[in-house]
Amino acid sequence: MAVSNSNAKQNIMQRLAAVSALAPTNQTSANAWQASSPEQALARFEQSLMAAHADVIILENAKQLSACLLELQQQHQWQTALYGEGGEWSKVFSLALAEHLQLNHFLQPFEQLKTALFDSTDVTFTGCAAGIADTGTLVLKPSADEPRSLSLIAPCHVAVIKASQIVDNLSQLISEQHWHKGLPSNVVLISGPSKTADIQQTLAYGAHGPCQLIVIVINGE
Amino acid sequence: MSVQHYQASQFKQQASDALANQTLRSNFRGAMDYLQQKRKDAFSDPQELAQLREHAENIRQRCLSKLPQLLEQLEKNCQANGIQVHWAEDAKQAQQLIAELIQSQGATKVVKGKSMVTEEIELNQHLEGLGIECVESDMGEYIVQLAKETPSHIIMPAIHKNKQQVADLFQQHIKDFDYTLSVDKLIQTGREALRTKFKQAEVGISGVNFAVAETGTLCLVENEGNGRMTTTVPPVHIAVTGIEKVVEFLSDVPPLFSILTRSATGQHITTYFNMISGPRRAPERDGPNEVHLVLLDNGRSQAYADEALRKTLQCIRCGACMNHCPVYTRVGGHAYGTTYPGPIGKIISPHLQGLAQTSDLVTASSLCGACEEVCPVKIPIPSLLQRLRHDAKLPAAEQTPSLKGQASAASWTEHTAWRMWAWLSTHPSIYNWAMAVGVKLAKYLPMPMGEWTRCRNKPELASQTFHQTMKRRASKSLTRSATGGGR
Repeated sequence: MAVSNSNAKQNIMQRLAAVSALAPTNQTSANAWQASSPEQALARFEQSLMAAHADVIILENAKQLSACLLELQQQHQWQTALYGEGGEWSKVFSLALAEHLQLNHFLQPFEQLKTALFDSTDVTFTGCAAGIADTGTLVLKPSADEPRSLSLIAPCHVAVIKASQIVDNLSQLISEQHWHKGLPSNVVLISGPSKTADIQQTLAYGAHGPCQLIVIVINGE
Repeated sequence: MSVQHYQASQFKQQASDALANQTLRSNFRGAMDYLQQKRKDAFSDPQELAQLREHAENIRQRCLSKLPQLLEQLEKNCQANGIQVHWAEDAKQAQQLIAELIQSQGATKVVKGKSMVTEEIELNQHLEGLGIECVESDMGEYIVQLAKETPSHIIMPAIHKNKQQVADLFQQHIKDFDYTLSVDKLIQTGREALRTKFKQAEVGISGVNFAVAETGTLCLVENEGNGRMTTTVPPVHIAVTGIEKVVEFLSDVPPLFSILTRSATGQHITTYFNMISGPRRAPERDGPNEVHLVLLDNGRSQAYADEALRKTLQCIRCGACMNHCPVYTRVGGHAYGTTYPGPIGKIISPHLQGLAQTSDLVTASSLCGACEEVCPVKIPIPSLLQRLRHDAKLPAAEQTPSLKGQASAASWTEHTAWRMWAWLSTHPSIYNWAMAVGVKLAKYLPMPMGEWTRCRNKPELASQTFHQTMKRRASKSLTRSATGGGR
């Protein structure tokens, strides 16, 4: 696209480059939180998410997921739901819920689903790429399988994560998964439901994104 | 829509008005106490805080020391990711560039996430003049936009308003608003109003918290989800950032992110951390089809040119300095008349607007040092203020490049008085005589001493000069030694 840019870059770079040699800086590091055991990591993950007003359900194994989803559906009386077709847990979502509510696949481009997502979707389901124990954070790498708006627009987001996906801290995750070699178009870290304290420093949930975040942790996986 | 604009050059009057506004003072007092306590709780381990601050400072200094190279690398990697990169030297260029990008889409409806840099270039007003509706999507920004005001805090834009004032605003502007003082209901009202705007928007504009050169990634920190909406729902996303926001490595991000959120609002982490490395890629089903990055200078290269002033650019925009500033706490953000208020605003604004406009701001500090003490990247704000005070009065030394508006606050009377003082100080006999006479006569002078005596008593001079006192002491001591006394 041709947009007027004149010589702005050249002029800015000239001004920056005119500066004399800069002093080298010290090499330092900062220690991020580390768990002493997987149990401690899971406990911190759960506590941090709950402190951020998320609901956390810990299951012993993946076989319990279907029943858990059904129970949640009955408890919240969800009528319409959306999930990504190629996600890790998509078959479970489908088998557990298809007969109990209107369950749609995210198959079309967003533009065709926009109105339904904003106006008539009660809940969305996704998996997670990882979890961060230190801060109680879900790491999502949206893709065609599970698009980014799945965790954003509906009033409730249900995320499923295996306990084995939980790492201690963000630095560790970046390093272990070699993020520096390239990232997908979007990575999003989620640490609770949408919130704001913009009015008189009073915390309120559901500012723009989901009012409710339900995290299901599969402990045996 | 005409936004109520305050001017940095009118700081003294604006500060007086703010001090006389009891509601405003009460709103700020409550908010600052709350934020100070939250930050204190978030850093319960002083050792960890010290280590993290040092590390964050070093990261920022390293990244700034390589700024030209990192900007080139960022551009290259963003382009490789499909992000189109644009450069703007000043506010006017940035306005035109962004407007062209919007108009090239044939768009007239824009949503904008919280971004101080777009406040800095007065983007909303410019777009409005072109018939483009630009709605603020952050709840606080939306409130100040409805009030036709500018943000009064860089993290919490509507911090100067209480819930009653927000409810009144909603009643005035939002159709079918069922009047309430419930904050939950007020937020839901804002949510519904803004959801309509997200659905309609053709372009989303955002700021950037960290731009990662290594991977060509734009990082956005937020709690509400409006930033994600703005950068996900419209078909075009335009990110705008100052050139100093670039970091070298992805591994630089976690420590900066951690210290940013804890310093700003005392949160261990924000709800959302959004990392954007390009537009929607096939076969993805959502996300914008185009992502643009606008890199803005607007005075930053001026700060960069000076080794001391360069530290200003270390700022990660947490707002902790203003939350702890005794001046900001009392006068609020609007009194400064600048996009960035408080201590950080006092050292950034001279580069954005020039010292001629901002020379009063650099004096609006007790130099108590609270701002430096809480700054997560250890910017020496008090010493930079002293430096800017000097530059506002006198041209910088020849070896340092000039600041816009240098010596603009110079006064012939003050300059002459100091020159006389310098001459007097180097002529001891005349100095001693003048001081002795001055001390004798000072108590008869009925003069009010300007600002100083408006709320303080005139200082009483000692009956003898310092030199006289020391001379007397020396002679006593000599006498004691001669007589063998002293004990």
